Amino acid sequence: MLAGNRKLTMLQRVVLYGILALLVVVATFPFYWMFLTSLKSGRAVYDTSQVLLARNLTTSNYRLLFAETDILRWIGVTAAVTAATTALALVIGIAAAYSVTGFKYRGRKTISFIVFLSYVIPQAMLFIPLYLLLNQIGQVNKLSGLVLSYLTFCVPFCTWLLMGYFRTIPAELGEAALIDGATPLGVLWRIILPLAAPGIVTATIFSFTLCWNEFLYAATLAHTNEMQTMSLGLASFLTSDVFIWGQMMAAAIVSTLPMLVIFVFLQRYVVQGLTMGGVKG
Amino acid sequence: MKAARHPRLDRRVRFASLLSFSVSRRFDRSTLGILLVVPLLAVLLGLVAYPMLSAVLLSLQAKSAGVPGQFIGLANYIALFTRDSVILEVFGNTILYALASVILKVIGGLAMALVLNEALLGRNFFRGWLLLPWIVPTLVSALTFRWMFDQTGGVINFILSGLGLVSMPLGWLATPELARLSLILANAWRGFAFFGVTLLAGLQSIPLELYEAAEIDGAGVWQRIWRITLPSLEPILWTIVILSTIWTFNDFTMVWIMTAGGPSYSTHLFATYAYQIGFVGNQLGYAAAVSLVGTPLMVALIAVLAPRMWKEE
Repeated sequence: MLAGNRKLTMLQRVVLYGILALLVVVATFPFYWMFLTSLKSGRAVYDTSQVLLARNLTTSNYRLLFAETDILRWIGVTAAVTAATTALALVIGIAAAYSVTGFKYRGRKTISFIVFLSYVIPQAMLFIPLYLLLNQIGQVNKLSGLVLSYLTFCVPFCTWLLMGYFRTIPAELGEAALIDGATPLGVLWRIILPLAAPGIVTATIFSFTLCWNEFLYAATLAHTNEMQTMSLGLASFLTSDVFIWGQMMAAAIVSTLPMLVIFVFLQRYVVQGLTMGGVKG
Repeated sequence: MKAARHPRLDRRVRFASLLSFSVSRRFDRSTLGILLVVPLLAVLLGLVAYPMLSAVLLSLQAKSAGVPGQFIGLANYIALFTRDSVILEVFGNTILYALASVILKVIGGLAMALVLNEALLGRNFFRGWLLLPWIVPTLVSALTFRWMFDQTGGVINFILSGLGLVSMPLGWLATPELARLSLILANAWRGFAFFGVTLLAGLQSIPLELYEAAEIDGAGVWQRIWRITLPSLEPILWTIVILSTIWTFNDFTMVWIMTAGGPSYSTHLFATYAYQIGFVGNQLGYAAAVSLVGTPLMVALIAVLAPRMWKEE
């Protein structure tokens, strides 16, 4: 706190609230614009007399979105791939993080470094050979292929995050339990996992978010309409001759809703995860 | 000794003791540790390392989808540097986007962190609220910005002409310079809150006594920011600056949705250009070369980042 323990002066208050207001306006305005557009009729979207405020708001964009597009299937595909990837990544990540932090064997430092490298290695370098590999093993245009490709970023991320959490748990706890006759897996189940529960929640949230928002791998691996994820569906609005901005913004809002719900209820974990090494973006 | 009189029970006891023997001795702890890490290694070696290595081989081939590749040595790389003017723009854009948006993100993030670190009304609420740009899917923000920067119906032109700043609607995404500026602004909007939250966590770990002592010594607000706050934040600031540079290097969605690399190939990054060549143009070998040619830049970034983020106990 800049003023130490003293109360802020009036001038300081005005400046601080002013900066805060500016930041809030900048952060919020695109959402306002998105939401407003989604409630405008086709004609109102380009009407210069009602740009920032609109008369006659309508929900027709949302009705048409659900009636005319495959948005329900996009959501279904995305949800299935997201759930499968997150579950697998958590199991693999928990096992690996426990192995690296709880056991002593040669090479575990190398492993933790490989995890770090895979965490920062860009998708930009991986997507072409990954496409060819999945093509070779017949996984292109399949849900399982999408899951495999999403594992390439969710697994390093979850492992990286969980290693950080597991390290904060005192080793003595596990050792004491082992002396009392617990098995190593019992230690994981009864001691590490309960203590690292916040970390697991955070890993789940971020893995979910990464999968839900993924675009590049989906664009290379999903070719038919049946395999389209939410991201591909949203992007497909840009392939038509005329952009229907009202419907597009309605779809954008629908695809943001799950993130918003998660964020509103689990904000604490999101902030925790961000400060623990963030999330790829 | 009861067990000895019942052969079947006896067998079971012996079997159980055999199992516990194997768990505790033969099957000792380090073996279990290695078993637990096998799935991770399978994913990382099979789905990350192997493709990365095969990308190197691929970049030495002329290859289209569905057809076996032909080995052509370094021809792709030679073509990239002698005949392809876009790749230089890609390098330039990567550095430009990274630098310009990082500067904006640091300014916005620092302002956010400093303000939210004070005892203001509703600061927890505003911390959450300001994180919204980071929470929405990149694709959604890219679409929204594309629409905001739209030449005819976009709100940016409407506001600018309303304020009398421009006389004609600007083609934000239609000229190279403005398109790059639009991408930088969108990228900064999306990322500043991540800087803000991370820096806020850094601020909260600075002991209050430091400020009090400085105040007693007569240091003003700016002096306190300059002498105490910024030096304490420096390590964490470097980490997030490099992370964000790597993400920018890696960006696909924002550019592909807002400009698709256009106008006339002027806004491409490595990922979008490689995608354009590989999947739109079906030259996978050349595309692999494009995606690998930024590696030195990437290695340099990781080399700086690694000692900061990867600390082994």
